[in-house]
Parts: sequence; structure tokens; C-alpha cells
Amino acid sequence: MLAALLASSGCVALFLWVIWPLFGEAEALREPDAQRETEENIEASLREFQADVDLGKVAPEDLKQIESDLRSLPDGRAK
Amino acid sequence: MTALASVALFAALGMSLWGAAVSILTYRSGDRRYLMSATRSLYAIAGLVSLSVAILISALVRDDFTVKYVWEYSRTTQPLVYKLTALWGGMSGSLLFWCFLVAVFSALAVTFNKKNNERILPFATLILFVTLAFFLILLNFKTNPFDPLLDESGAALASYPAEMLRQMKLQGNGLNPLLQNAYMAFHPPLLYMGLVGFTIPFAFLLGALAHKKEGTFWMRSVRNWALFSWLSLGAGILLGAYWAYIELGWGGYWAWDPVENASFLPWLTATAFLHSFIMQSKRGIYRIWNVCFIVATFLLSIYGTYLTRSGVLQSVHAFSQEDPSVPWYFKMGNIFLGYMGAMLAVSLYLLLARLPMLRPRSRIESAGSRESMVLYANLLFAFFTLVVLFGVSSPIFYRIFTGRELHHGPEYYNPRTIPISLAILLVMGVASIAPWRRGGFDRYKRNLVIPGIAGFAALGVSLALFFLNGAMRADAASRPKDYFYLVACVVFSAFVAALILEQYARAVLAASKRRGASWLLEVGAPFRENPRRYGGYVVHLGIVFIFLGVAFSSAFQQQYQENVKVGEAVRFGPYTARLASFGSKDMDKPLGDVNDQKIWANLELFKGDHFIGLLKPMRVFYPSSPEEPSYEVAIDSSLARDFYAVLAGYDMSKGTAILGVFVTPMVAWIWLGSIVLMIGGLITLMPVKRV
Repeated sequence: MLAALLASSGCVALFLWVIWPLFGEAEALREPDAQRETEENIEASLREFQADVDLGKVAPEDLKQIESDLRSLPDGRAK
Repeated sequence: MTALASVALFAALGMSLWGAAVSILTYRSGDRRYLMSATRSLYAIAGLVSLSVAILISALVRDDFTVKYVWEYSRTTQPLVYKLTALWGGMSGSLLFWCFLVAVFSALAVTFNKKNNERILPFATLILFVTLAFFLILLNFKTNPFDPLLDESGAALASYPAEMLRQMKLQGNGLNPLLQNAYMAFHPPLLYMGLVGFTIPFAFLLGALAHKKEGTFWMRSVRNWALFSWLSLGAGILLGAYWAYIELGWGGYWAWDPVENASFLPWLTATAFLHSFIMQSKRGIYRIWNVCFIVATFLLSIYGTYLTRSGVLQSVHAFSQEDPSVPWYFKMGNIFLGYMGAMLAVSLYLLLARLPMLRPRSRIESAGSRESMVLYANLLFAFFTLVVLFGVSSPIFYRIFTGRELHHGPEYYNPRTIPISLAILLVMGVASIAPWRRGGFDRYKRNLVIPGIAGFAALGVSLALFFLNGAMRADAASRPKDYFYLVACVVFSAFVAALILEQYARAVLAASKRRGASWLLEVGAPFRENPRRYGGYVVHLGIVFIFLGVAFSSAFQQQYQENVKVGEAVRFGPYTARLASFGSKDMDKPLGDVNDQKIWANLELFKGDHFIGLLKPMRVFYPSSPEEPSYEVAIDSSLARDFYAVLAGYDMSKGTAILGVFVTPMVAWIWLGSIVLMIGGLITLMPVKRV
């Protein structure tokens, strides 16, 4: 009996903890800094491409085109 | 305690439904309060399911046979490690363990992505909650691991014969003898971690599509989940192969068993995704491929679980068959099919709705470029997956439509998968030197010299051996295709290994030149500066070892069976084995009083006059199956060959034994390659050094 009481009290307490944020003030979801993340990704990729120039896996003249591709939008427009 | 566990599982189901509801509210309103509540629900579920797991482990350790699951899969005399591994030894325990992993992984993934990917979390958490609810419904209403052994009237709930129940009641039935092996302590959890881990990339993918988030930044954050899952699944599969090799006594490691294949399928698509994602990250291409690979990987993970638990397959991995009186909508298999169908429908809808967002940023400009090589790899992996999927699934449909049984063995798989595997091996090598953007021989030639020489040298050595060895020529005449594949494998392996070593050496020399330091001090530089690429090369080197091991062990295994008397020596090819004596453990005690009884043959192994070692092939009797003793094989292993002995039969009163022997070349290369592959995989998980 005591165990059942404890278990049900525990479940109620847990549920209260779960719904507690709903009693706070409304707040919009955070927008991530996607632009910064994307820039970092492009820079990291370009560094690796630069290393590939040394190893002969990418021609120096192709680097510009690769960079331009990376900085373009899906519809082909530049950022 | 078990009542508390049942309450916890039921509360967890309630939490998952609540979490799904507030996830929908977050998706519709964009209000952060709902997301916070959803996140807390995930933590609560993780806590509640962990509590249930802890209670089941406690019941197993304490031999609490009031719980039917504990009675079925544990035994008083069972060693502690096998009491613990009994957690995943049966249907409901393994589903509880699966649910536990989903809950913990989901809580971790949401915690790590709250800051950067909050915008895609509402739909991602919805998928996670639906998945959790699916497993919790199964655990609460279909196969509860906390069901009692006896009902209130004292009658057995389990459908075991009364006499067996009476005898076993005090000691437990015990874990399946095949699972009482040290490797079984690691094989299932690694496999489960791999399969469950793919839930996270899948949920985040659907989240990104639903919230119209194009770009790769969110995908980079789940890339490590995919890599970790791929690594765990690979380790699980390879450990399973090793277990099959040392436990089942048939001299092989891969039988194309339907459930082995089912775990291999998501590994194939995940491998393709990890390579294809590099192209998305660096060149903005293959987005649709990647979406398809993630969805396929997740669905194939669930499909494997469906195969083992629905009763549609006969396999060493299958759990028990379902009672035919259960209505169709409540059958385990149909519940799985409903869940998979719903996930497939949502994925397809989102894929079609977001197609314009997934257009590539650049075009493939040459058939010889690195971008093209990855496309070839994608096609090969997709084709490989379809071949295996057809092999696994067609017997099920065949039985449904004709009522007859169909089994696909090596004769179906080998002719189809060997050429694809060799093509993958070749593309794996060429892709690492293929130039970005544009192909053409002039761009390749600088990187092809040393690997080309290695490939031709391997071809020359193979042909020389062939022409100098008359027995081999005769053997090749009887199976020319096998030899063609073998030589192709050797040549491609030499080519790829030389290429990897050359690339690594050049990277070390470049680092040495850059810093003006000795090359000896820079041997770790490539791994520090670009762990993903050079860790990937180590993985490829491991794959080369595995290819060589599989090729040689499959082509040249020799099998013998001989009757031997104590004191007698028998020749097995170049080896001689002498049966010195028999040994035994606990054979004088009643089987019910011990966990197992063992009988073994003491075999002295010689090559010529050189004593190699003492081997002890064994038979082990377990109380749950005293009529069918298990095999414990004895192996003398080296990189050149394995001498593998099985005690196929014995008569101690007459002092005779029937010995099964397999002499197999280069099996150890498979296990060596597996270790190299895992080390490479761990290197790729290292954080990238920011310059």
C-alpha cells in the first residue's frame, strides 16, 4: 500500500516537473546563427581543398569555382 | 519492486504521449515553453526506463523467479556475467534494452542540440516520442518483461510442460547455451547501440525537412551520431561473425543468415551516407541521396528488429513464435509493419514536399572526378543493399503467396555480391586519389605510379605462383571464376593499400616540410590535422585486410573428419594431431547442480616433428538442453592459417573421438582488419583541429 502510494506520488511529482515550463512566459524558439555555421563549414572545407592542392588532388584554378559553388544558394544564385 | 518497474513503464508511455502532444504544439506555435516541457518529458522517460532496466537487472542477479522473464533466461548456477547478459537474451528484455537506448540517446541528442538546432527540434522530438511510444506500447501491452511466472491461482502463465516447470522452478530455465559466450556480452549491445543510434539522424533529418531548414550545418551535428552508430554496428557485426566462428563449430564466420543480413543492410546504407555526406558538406551535392540513405538506414534497422521478433523467419537469432490465436492487429509483426509504414509515409511526403530545397549547388563535370567516384560508390552500395534485401525478403513473400519455404544461401548471394564488393574495393581506392571537379588521365597519373606498380606486382606474383604450382592450376581449371575473383581481390587490395600508404607518407612529408621538422616527429600530424580523412584511410586499410582474409579463407579452406583412438595420431594435410587423452569438468555431479559440464579431447598438434601446441576441443552440457551439448572449438591461429578442431563425437569408454578439423588460410586477417577498422573509426570521431 505504502509502495503504491509512493510510486503514484512520484509519478505525479514527475509530471508536475514536466509541465512546469508551461506556466512560464511565452517565448519564441531561438534561431541559430546558421550563417556563421555555414561560413565556418566553407572555410574548413576550403582549408582541406588547399591541402589537396599540395597533394595534386585539385587544380589551383578549380579552387575558385569550388569556393563559388560552396557560397551559392540551392537555386544557383550567389549569396 | 517489479510492480514499481511496471508502473515506471506505464508512466513512461504516458510521458511519451504527452511529449508527442507538446512537440506538435511547439511545431505549430513556435513557443519555447512547449519545447522545454517536451525536453523534460524525454529526461523523465529516460529516467523511468532506466529505473525499469535497473529493476530487471536486480531481479536477474537476485534470481527472482517470481518474474517469468528471469525464470526463462536465468538460472541460479549461471555465472554473474550471463545473468547480466540475460537482460537482452529474450524478446521482452531485449525490447526493454532497445527502448532504454532510444530514451537515453534521445535525451543526449536533444541536450547537445538545444543551443544550435532548436529550430528543428519540435518535429525531431515528435519522431523520437512516437518511436518511444511504439516501443513502450509493445512493452506495456504485448511483451512485458515484468510479467509474473505464476498467476494468482498459482498456475503457470508460461506454456511449459508441468514436469519441466516443477524441476526447474527453483533453479530457473537458464540462458540459451549459445549465448553463454564472453563475446555475447558485447555483440548484442554494440549491435543495438548501432541500430538505435540511427534514430537520431533520422529524427533530425525529418525535423530539418519539416521546418524547411536547408543546409548542412544541422547535419554536421548529427554526423558524429551516424559515425558512432556505424562504428558500433560494424563492431557488433564483426563480433557476431567471430562468435559464430568460435561457437557454432562449422568453421565459418558468415552464413548469409537472414538476421545477419538484416543487421548488415543498415550498415551498408550508413556507409554510403557517411561518404556521400562528405560531398554534401564540401560540394553541396547528393542531398537527395543523403536523405534517402538516412531514411533507408533507419527503416532497415527497424526491419531487422521486425524480422527477429515477428516470427516470420527461422534463424539462430529469432525469438519465439507468436500464438496464432492473437488477432491480426495485435500481432507483433503487424505492429512493427504499421510503425515502419507510418515512418516511411512521413519520410516520403517530406522528401517530395522539399525536393526544390534539396537541389544540388554544383554539377558533376567529369566522369573521372572525385564527385563521380562517390556517385559510383552510392550506386554500388544501393545495388548491394537491394540484392541483400531481396535475398532476405523474398522467402517471406514466397511463403505468403505459395505456402512453401524458400531459402537463399551462398549460392544466391556470392555470385551477386562478390563482383559488387570488388567494384566497391576498386572505387574505394581510386576515389581517394581522384581529383576534385575534373578527371582525365593527366590529373591521375602523378598519384597512380606507386599504387599501379603495387597492383601489377601483385598480379605478377599471383600469375607466377599459378604457373609454378601444378596443383593450383588443376584447381583453377575446375573453378576458374573463383580464381579470377581471388586474383582481382589481391590486385585491387595491393593497389588500394599502396595508395593509402603513399597518401599518408606524402601527408607526413608535407607536414615535415611545412614545419621544418624531421618526418619522424610528424607521423601523427595527418591524424591530428585531418582526423576524418586519415582515420578514413585507416578504415579503408582495415577493409583491405578483411577482403584478403575473406577471399583466401573462402577459396582455400580444407575440411577433414577422422575417427581417432587415444594415443593415435592422424594427419590433417601438413599437420598431425595426436589424441593424448580426454578431460572433463563436473561430469560426476548432477547436471542440475552446476551451470555446465564439460568434456574435452587433449590434442597434441604437430607440423612435421615440430610441436605446435595442445588443443582442447570441447562439448558443453547445459541443464536447459542436456541432449544437445554445445561446441567449444579449439583454434591454433596465426596470420598464415587457422587450425580449427571440433569434437564432433566421442566414446570415452572406448577411448575414441570423432574429430572435425578445418585448416583455413588467413582468417586472422579478418579479425586484424576489424581491429584496424575500429581504430580508424575512432580516429574519425576525434574533434577536428581548428587552425
